[in-house]
Amino acid sequence: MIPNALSLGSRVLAMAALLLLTHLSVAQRRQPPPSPVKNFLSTQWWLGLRFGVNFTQPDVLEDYYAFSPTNYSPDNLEKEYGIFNLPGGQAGLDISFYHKGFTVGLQPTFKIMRYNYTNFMEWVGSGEADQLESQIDVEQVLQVVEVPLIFKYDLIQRGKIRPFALIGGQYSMIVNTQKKVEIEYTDYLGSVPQTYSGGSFNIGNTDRMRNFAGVLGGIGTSLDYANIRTVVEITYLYGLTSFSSNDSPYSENELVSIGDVNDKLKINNINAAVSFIFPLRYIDKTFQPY
Amino acid sequence: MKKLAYIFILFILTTACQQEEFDPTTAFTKIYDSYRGSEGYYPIDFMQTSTGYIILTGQTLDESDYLGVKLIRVDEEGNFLSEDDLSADYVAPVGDMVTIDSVGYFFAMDPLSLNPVLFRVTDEGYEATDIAGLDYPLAANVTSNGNLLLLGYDLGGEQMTLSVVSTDGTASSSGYAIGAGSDIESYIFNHFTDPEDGALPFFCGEWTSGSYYFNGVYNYALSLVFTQIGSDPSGVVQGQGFNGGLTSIMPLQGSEFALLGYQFNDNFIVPTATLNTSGISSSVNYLETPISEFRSKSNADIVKWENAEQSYTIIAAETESRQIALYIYQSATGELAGIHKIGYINPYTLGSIKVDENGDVLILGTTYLSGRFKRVFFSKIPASDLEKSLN
Repeated sequence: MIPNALSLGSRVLAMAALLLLTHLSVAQRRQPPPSPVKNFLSTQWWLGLRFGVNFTQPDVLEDYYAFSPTNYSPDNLEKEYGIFNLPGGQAGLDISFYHKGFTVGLQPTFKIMRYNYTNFMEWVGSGEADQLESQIDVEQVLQVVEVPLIFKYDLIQRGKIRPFALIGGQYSMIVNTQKKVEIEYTDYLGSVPQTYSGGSFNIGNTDRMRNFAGVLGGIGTSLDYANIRTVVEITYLYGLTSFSSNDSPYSENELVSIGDVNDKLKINNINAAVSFIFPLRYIDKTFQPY
Repeated sequence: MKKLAYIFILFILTTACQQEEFDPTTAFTKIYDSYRGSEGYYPIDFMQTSTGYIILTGQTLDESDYLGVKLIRVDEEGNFLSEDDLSADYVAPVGDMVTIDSVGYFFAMDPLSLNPVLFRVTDEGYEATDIAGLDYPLAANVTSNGNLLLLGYDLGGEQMTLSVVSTDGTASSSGYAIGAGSDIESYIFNHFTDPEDGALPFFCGEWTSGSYYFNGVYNYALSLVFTQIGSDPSGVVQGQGFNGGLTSIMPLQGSEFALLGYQFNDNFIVPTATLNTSGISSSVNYLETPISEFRSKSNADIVKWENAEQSYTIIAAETESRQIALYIYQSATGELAGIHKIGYINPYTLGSIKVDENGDVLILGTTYLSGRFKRVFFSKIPASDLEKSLN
C-alpha cells in the first residue's frame, strides 16, 4: 500500500504528536542566561542631541482688523495665510527612559517657527485715475523653547531597526518674536500700472505673544548603527491654546496704520527631527553591542 | 518619572483652560476706511455716549469749498456702526463737541445764511437749530452753568462775537472789533476753505465763573482776549499779527494756564504760565523754549489727567515726523514727566484729545492710509499704558 493512502485524520494526528515532542524537548532544556545585550537594552536611559526642521500652520480662532470699514465688508480685510509653507528649525536635547518597549522622554528644544500672511487692499477713485492697490506681506517668526513630554512605544523591540509610535504634550515658552513686513503699491494713475515698494519693516512683537501648549503624535524609527542610536521621527503638534497675547490686539501698535493687527491664532506644526542618543547606564567590557 | 508625567499633563490641561478673553473696550486704535480714494476727512471732536462714541468730522466736498459735516457713530470697542452725512444742508463744523446732561452739542454753519446751527446729538439721532443774528461759527465750548459758548465772526460788523448760547439755541452776545487793518476776510475764508494750511487756532472757554476767554482776531492780531459777556475785554494776550500767538490753552487755577503757542515756525510749551488777565501783554513774552519736535503751526490740544499720585497736564501736538506727541507735565511743578508718541509708518494729525472718567485717554485724528488717503483714526490709550510713559 502506498503511504498517501493514510487518512487526513491520521496525518493531522502525526503532525500534532511531532510538534508536542519538539516542544517538550525544548522545554526540558536548561534556560540559557539572559543575553547582556538584551538586558542592556531592556531598561535604559538615553541622552542625546536632536535637530530638525518644522513647518507651521497658523490656525485662526478669531479675525481682528485695525480698519473699520465704512462702506465695504470687513471680510475684504481677511488675511490670507500660508500653510506649512515656510521652514523653521529646531535643536535641543533628547532625554528618555526606556523600559520593555515603552519610552518616556523629554525633549527641551530651541525652535524657530515661521508663517506668513498677506493683506490686500484697494482704493478706487471716481475715475480709474486714482485707483491704488496695496499688498502687505507679513512674515512672523517665533522663537520658542519647547518642552515636549513624549510616550513612545517600539512596534518592533529587537534588531537594529526599531520603528515606534509616539504621543505626548508640549509647552512652548516664547523667547522672541519678530514680524517682517513688506509693502508694495500698484498705482493705476497712468496707462501703465506702476508697482513700487512702500518699504519693509522688521518689528519685534514679543509683547503681543504668550506661551502656549499643545498635544503631539508621530511615528519614527530607531537605527542602531555605527555605535550610536539614531532616532528619526516625524511628529504633528496640534496647538491647544492661543499664542496671541491676552492684551487687547487693538491697542496701539507700530503697524496699525497699514491695517496690520494680529489675529487670535494657535499653531499646528509638523516636525521632522533626527536624534543621536547614547545609553547612560554603565557599559562594562563584556558588553559589545555593536 | 510617572510623577513628572502627571505634573506635565496637569500643567498642559491647566494651560489649555487658561483665560483666553480680553476686554476690547479697554484699548483700541481704529481707522475708519472708505474704499473711495477721493474722500478726505478732518476730524474735529467726539463725545462719549452710553453705547459708544460719536465722532464729529469735516469732510472734503466736490460741490463746496467748505468742509461738509459728518457724524460717525462707533461702539465701545471703536467699531464703526453708522454715519450721518449732513453735508447737503450744513458745512463747516467746529469744535469743541461738548456734552451737557448726556446730550452732545456742536455747531456748524448754514452755507446759505452763514448762520451758526446748533446740533443736539444723541444715540438716537440729531436735531439742528438755526441761530439767527450770528455768522461764521469759529469755536465752541461749554460754560459752568450748562450753556454753550460760541465764538464767531461778524463779517459785516468786522468784529469777533462771543455768545453764550442756551441748549435751546437762545444766544446773548458781545462783539469785539477786530481792530485797524484790512483783508481780515481772506484769513477767515482761508480758515474755512483751506483747513490744511489756512486754519487758525480759534478757541474759547470759561476760566472763572462768568469770565470767558477767546482766541480770535483782536487789535488786528490773533489774540487771547479775557472778557465777560456785555463787557469790554479785561485782558489781552496779543499775538504777533497772524505769525505768532497761542494755539491752545487750558485753565489750571486763577490766572494760571497751561499753553502751547507759536512764533513763526517755532512752537512753545508753557505748562504753567500766569497770564495777564487784566491788562495787555504779548504772547511772545510767555514763550521761552521752543520745542523743535513740533511741526510749524501744529494743531494742539491740552487736557488734565490724573493718576493715584498726582495731577498731570497732557499737551498734545503734531511732530515734524507726523506723529502725535503727548507731553505729560506734572501740573503742580510744571516738570516734564513723560512723552508718549502715537503713529508709525503713515502720517498722523491731531484732531482732539480727551480723558474719560476712568483716566483713559481718547485721541481723535487723521492718518493717511498708503500715505495719501486721509482717514479718521480713533484711539483709546488705557491709563496703565500712559503710566508706563512716566519717568
